[in-house]
Amino acid sequence: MGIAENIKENLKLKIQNNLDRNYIRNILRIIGKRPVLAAYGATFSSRSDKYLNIATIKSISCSYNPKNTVAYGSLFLPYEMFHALDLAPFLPEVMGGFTGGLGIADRTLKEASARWYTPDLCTFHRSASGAVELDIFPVPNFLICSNLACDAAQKTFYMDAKKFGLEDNYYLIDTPYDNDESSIKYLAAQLESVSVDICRKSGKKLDIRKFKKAIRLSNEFRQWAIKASDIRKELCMYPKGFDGLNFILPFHGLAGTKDAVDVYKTMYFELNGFLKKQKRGNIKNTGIRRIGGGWTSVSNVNSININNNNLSSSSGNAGSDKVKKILWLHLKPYYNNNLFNLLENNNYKVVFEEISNVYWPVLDPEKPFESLAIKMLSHPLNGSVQNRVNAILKMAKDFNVDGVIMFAHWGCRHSNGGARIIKDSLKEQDIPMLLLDGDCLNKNNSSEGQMLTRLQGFMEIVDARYQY
Amino acid sequence: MVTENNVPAFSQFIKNGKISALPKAGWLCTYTPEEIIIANGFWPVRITGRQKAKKAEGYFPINFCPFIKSSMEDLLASGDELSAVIVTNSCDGMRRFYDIASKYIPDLPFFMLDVPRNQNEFAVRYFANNILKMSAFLETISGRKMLLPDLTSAQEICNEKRLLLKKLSNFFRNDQKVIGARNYFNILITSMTEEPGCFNTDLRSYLEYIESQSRHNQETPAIESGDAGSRQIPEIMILGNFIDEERLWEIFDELDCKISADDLCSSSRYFENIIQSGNFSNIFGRKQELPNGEISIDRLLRDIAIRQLFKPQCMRMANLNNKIEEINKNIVKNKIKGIIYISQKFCDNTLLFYPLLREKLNDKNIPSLFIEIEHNNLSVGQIKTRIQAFLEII
Repeated sequence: MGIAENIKENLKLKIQNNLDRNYIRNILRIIGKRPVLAAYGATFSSRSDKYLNIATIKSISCSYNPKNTVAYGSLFLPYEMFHALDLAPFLPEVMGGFTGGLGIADRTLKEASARWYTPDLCTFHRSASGAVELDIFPVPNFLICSNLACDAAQKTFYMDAKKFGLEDNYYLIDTPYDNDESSIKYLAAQLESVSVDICRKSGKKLDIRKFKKAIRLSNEFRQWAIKASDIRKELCMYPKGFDGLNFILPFHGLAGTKDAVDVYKTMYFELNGFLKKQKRGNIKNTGIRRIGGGWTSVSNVNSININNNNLSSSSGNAGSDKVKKILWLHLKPYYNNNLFNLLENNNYKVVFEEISNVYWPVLDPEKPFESLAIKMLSHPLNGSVQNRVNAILKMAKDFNVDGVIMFAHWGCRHSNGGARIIKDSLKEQDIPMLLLDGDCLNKNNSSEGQMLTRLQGFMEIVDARYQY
Repeated sequence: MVTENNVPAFSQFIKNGKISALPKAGWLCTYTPEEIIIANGFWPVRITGRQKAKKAEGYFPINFCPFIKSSMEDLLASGDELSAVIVTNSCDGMRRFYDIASKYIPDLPFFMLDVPRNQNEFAVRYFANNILKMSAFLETISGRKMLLPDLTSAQEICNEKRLLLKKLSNFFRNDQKVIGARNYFNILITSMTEEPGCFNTDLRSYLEYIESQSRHNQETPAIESGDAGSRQIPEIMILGNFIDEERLWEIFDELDCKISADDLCSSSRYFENIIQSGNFSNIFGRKQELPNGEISIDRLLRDIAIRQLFKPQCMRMANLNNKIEEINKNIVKNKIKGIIYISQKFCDNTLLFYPLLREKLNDKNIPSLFIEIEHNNLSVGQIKTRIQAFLEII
């Protein structure tokens, strides 16, 4: 275990043993200090990972600082608005994921169950609600949510608002189904009205200059995120510790800040460096054809050193020395698991994730609310599942993937409900898809053995598609 | 089937079922304005998930709303009887139902009606515009334009139906044994599936009949059986989503309890809030009347939008405090002693509302029973035992 992992494990243990908002605040205050943060950052071998961790700690520290005006926000909101309003965002759903990583989800889920949240509901929301009830999460001043993608946030946020006596500071941004003129108008009006109301309650005036600044930074972050994604279209050789599925907080919660720009700029330069190394190395296009057509040209990366552990694959040797490219849909299990080890050990690489897809156009700083409305409505998870299918097909094509894995998180109706159409649409393009049933947070609701067996079966299918 | 007081059930009372030549348009959620369907020359038929999901299981994940799966099964089995289907953006499940049904039943035209969650001026304007789009969709299928007289006439039919159902509901609350729970909830389902004009005629006759029966019963001295007369029957409220389970309602007929209020999307959320032209338009303090007091399609659409958004609300709406207030009013008005909260499995909107409601009910010392059911797959014995135990407590 490296230094970074050791520090993380120690912090985890401390938090597990002291589940209390004030304790977490103190820890964050200590590690949030510049020298400590710099020392902590130096323990990461990947610069992208380092910047990600530093930005995350900074963001969470801000939301735990009682001097700041804190706003809970649901995942797909335009956070440029939060930063323009000087609100320190706190994303309970994302932090629900952290409860899995911190090993405290058992306790938060138990608390939610005791409060009549049935186990059929999404564990991200249940765990976040449990954490609020256990007084682990910071005290908000405002709670803003949307129904973009899923129904759950608007309910759990309301209950959180009630707990904190903030029903009047609860806002639902009602996201329309279609992306058309009337929807943009309806949504932009809501964003403006909520912003004005928050300013009024905070005793401030709405400062459009701050919106313009946030939007300019958002555009800059967008540009670097696209450049980093472009690099990944060719990249098979990643820095150690890099995991695109971990970047959900900066991608959403930090949009409109310099931190997001720094994270993605760093990612671009680091990945670009690796791409150059990859190109200098023993790598070539093999020209291998996939049976049944589809997209060709798969990189053969003989020089990649795969870490061995005790896991083995039953997928045989067919094509095992070729890197198979995987597109990952939805999220991943945040507790310790061997899914990604199994993939790596069999020369499978997650080359892109659905959550890393830059789905929105360049925003116009002169029309902040309209721009942010367009950003929300451009999300592939909004509206018809066909929007998502189109985005997935484009990603699959752009990244020339060999297969798609969709992690079917328990209780996620919007994502799992569209799985059949997504699978059929990929099948029409001759791309195999694995629907991996599990739970991102609750390891007791996931059978790892079953998941690994299914993953092995999937890899056999993908391997069998190559001719030599 | 007859009720306890030997009143024939509505289904038996209607001896000569009338068949309408109108093309049918399916709908699923009570936020769908039936007026628009009728005004465009269609017979609005609610898809109630009669079929047990078999083939539909292959289209949806295992942990998905069983009502939606059964609705898909209905469409797979008899979608060809419909000319169009209106789906609303009411929940995650419905959005995916729309996607799946429109992809795998390509010959059947579907329309997604976006219903706002907020209740304010922005939302009303947006919703009225969406209703207009829905009308345009139906116009392309019917091949004719909806005119003002079509809409006013459709509104009259819907208003009459709502008034009759309200009357039925009041009657049921006051004299539950005459109508019977199973019969009452069956009538409600019939009101959503039968041709509206014919249904109104039938229900009017039925109400006259049961009123005369009720008068007759009151004039005839009752023969007390056991201690039933001296016992206080607990007054309960039924709350939940779309519940269409005859065997569940039979349990209430068999037990000593009085359903004094119901708030389901298969009951009061369907018929409450009657449009009285002109009343709604002032809701935000803006008078929308034309200078000469004329009625326009725009004005009627606005009225419909307001009616729909401000009817007893589904748990999907933003302001959950309003929902709690609605429930509180019902509790006070009907002297409710306990609430039975019934939810379809995997209905996030309903399931996520219960923790909040339970806490509020606890503050008022109102006990509640939470029952999760699976559409078309009811575990009668188990549920009956739980309801019995709950009634004993209250």
